[in-house]
Amino acid sequence: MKLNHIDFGQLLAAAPDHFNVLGWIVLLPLLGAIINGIWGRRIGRQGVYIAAISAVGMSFLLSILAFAALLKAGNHAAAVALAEGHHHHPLASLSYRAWDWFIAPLGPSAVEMIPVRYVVDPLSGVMLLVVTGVGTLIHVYSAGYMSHDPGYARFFAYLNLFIFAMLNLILGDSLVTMFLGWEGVGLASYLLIGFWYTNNDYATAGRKAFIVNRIGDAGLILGMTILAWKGGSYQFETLRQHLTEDTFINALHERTGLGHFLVDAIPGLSSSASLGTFVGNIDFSWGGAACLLLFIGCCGKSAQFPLYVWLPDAMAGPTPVSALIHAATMVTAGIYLLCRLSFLYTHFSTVLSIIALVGAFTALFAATIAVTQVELKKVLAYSTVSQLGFMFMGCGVGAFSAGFFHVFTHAFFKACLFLGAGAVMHACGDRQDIRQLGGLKKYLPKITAAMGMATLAIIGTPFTSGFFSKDEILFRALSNPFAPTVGKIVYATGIAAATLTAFYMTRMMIIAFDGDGPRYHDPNKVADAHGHDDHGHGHGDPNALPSEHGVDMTLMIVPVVILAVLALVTGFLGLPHFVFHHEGILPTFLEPAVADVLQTRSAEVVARVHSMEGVSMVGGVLSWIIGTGAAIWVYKLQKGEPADKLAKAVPGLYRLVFDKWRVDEFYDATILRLTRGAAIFAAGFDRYAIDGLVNLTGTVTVGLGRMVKPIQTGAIQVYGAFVAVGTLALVIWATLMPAVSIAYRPGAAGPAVLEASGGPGYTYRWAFYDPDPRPEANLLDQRCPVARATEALTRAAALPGAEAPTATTQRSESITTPRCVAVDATNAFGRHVLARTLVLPQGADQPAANPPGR
Amino acid sequence: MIIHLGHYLALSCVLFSIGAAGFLFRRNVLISLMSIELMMNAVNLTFIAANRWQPLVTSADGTATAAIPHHGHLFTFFVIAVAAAEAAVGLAIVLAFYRLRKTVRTDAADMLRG
Repeated sequence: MKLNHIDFGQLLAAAPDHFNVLGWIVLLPLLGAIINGIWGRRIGRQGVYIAAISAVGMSFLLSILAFAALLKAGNHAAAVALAEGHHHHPLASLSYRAWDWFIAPLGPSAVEMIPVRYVVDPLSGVMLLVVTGVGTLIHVYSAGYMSHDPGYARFFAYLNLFIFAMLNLILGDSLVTMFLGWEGVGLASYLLIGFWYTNNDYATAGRKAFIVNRIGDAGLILGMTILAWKGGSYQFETLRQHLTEDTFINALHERTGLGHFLVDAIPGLSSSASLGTFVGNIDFSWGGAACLLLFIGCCGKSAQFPLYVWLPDAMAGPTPVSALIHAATMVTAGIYLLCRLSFLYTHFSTVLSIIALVGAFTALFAATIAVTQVELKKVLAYSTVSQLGFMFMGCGVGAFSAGFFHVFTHAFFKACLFLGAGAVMHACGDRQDIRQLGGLKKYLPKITAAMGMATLAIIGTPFTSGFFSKDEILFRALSNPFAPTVGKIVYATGIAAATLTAFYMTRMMIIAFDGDGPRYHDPNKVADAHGHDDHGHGHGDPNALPSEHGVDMTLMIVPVVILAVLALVTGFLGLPHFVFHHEGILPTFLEPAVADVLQTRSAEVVARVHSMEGVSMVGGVLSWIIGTGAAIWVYKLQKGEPADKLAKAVPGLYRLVFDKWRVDEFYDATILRLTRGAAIFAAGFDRYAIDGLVNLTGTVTVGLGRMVKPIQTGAIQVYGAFVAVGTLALVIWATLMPAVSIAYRPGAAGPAVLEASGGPGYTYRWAFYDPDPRPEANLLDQRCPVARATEALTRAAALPGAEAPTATTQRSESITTPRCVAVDATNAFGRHVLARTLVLPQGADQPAANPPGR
Repeated sequence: MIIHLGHYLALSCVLFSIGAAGFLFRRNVLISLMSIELMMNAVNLTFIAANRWQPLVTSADGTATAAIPHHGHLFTFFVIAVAAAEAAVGLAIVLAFYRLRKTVRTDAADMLRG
């Protein structure tokens, strides 16, 4: 398709929903997943590999096409806006509506049609390129890394499924379609963490990830619902429109009244003056609650404190999975969602400050853990948690595009580091304890160089991508215009975390790659031809020296090197403002799609904010120098002695940090124990109370069955006799029982004939009286109430010359006005049995057109 | 002598009673089946007779018109159809039962005893 020849303005005006390239981008990975999932074992490794990589690769090529089209549409829209005299960047987007999905209720009285629609705008466009691009590289890498694994097809099916779900997440135009992808990536993550499910620890890690994410997702669903209710839509674009209207802004700022509710609901609270006032004052707006709840969802998916615990364990999955899902793409979904809803979050600065503080704390906390870890992937996992904290810091100080810029750069350097670590493991017989490695630079020069480049980026070496993106976040924290104190705390924490980052990354690189040679290698040991490892994922001889030879290693090295180069250069897309006096390319591009607190601030404030950029950068560079220098001094020059001494000097603290601050143990002792206790109680209740009731039903039924069992003789004629006797009894009952009913036959002329039928031996009393004056009492059923009949009969019996009971079952009566008739029956033993009434309409003695009583 | 509804009903009652007694007291399955047929035919007779003796219907203008009743006939046909089906299924059961037990006496068929 030659994009230059297409007038996008015209195209979009004609068919705004028909950019169907997006549909193919999403569909192709799903097709790959289906092919590999169903026929993967039959088409062979070659077939699996071709199907999976071509699906993602074509998706990537189409993404480039879509991105180019988006740029073109953006230029067109900008030209149109300029021609109309506007100077802002208009939001350009291309969308494809696949179908209308369902009608969702928005609240008590409103509904909305939820379409399955995919939209590419600047934000999702960049994310789309990252996901499909890094995804493709990692598919290529996996072909080498997984080459000996028996679950080859299954792995690629899951990986393709992940890409499909991730694309739904980023391209979906509503919270609902995004949620579909959100859960889809969660599922793929679960499947891939527990990929080697025969290992119980790995399977547990998968479950842990899934369950911790459920906690976050509970918040996400609640937040979505509140947002749809108060914000009036599930769709991002509609929400954005609504956020410019006072009605919806006011609705979102409406207080929830939670405090008053609690005071009213909890007895005794209102009587305590101080506590009652305190609780009564607890309140927040619906919008703030929604934002906070959505952020809880982001905490789960993006591994923020206190829900970060699943991510380090998620390293149980194959390394390409750690790189793609648990470093580059899925875990950044939380930041992506915040950026998507940035137009909403800018209205709730308190929530933003909470986000910034949580991010800052997580960044520092995870960095301290990473300092003591000895496994490559564990260091990188905590590093990921820490870097995600940086991204949330950016969002939390209102600089969403800065946070997203870090997502962008982090995707490259962290994917590169993980893939490099995976290549190291592949070459070193699945070892990843850095104390066993060492001197790898001699044996794996290309991997070492690539990982070195990525490390330079992550530790914020000036002019690498990590430097620019981290500095953007830190400076915006320092110059936070709406919460200066929070901003300064966040900045200081961020600097500390950045220093630690530089320290632990340099430490990892020195211990693993510098030195004489791998410490696990025993030159005296004869190579064992039947080497195997613990999860059937054979990498050859466990004692062999690592090397970069072979097809597998080539397949792995190429993506690592590409990512390393990207890690170095992508920072230039977001050059700092204060040097070049112009916003970076990426922030400018994102500006129409991603809100920023500065957008609503005066030019004076903006200028003041930018004046702090230089000051902030000094801190950033200092943290890089101190962190890296300290690591080089400790591990390179002093060969790790100061670290050992420090660990021996404060053994308690060292153990505590080494055990990851024992947060998992804390959760075990509190939440899990509570849950287990509740589970044991519930199980006991189920076993004894519920099952007891069920068993009681069974016991009673069996007992009754024993009692009546003898009736079942099995002889058909006995059954026949039962039927005959029963029928006979029915007939006798029907003939003899006092079924008193009144019927009347309108005569052809003359009096109406009233008839009371009943069994033999009965006597009757008759009473005629006027109907109930309330019309509804008579008209509805054409019958007087029985109580009235009894009353009428009692009254009639009290009259002089009262009618004595007779055996007359028939009476002839002239009915000239509407009348009620009541009959009561007394059986042969003088027992009063029944009374019945009937309303006779006027002229009932005349021949009627529609004879009643029939 | 005028033959009235009562006569028909009496005859059908007698037929039904004979059938019921046969079903209850004979031990041969084939006789039981015949007795069932007899009871059904007694019912058919009741339907036909009652159909003929339906009361007159008074129409809207007050004149009594003779009914053109078919309900009884309809039901009779249904009963005949059901009886035919029942005989087919019943005989098949008898055959299967005979293969199993080498007898057609109902006392032998008590496998469902509780």
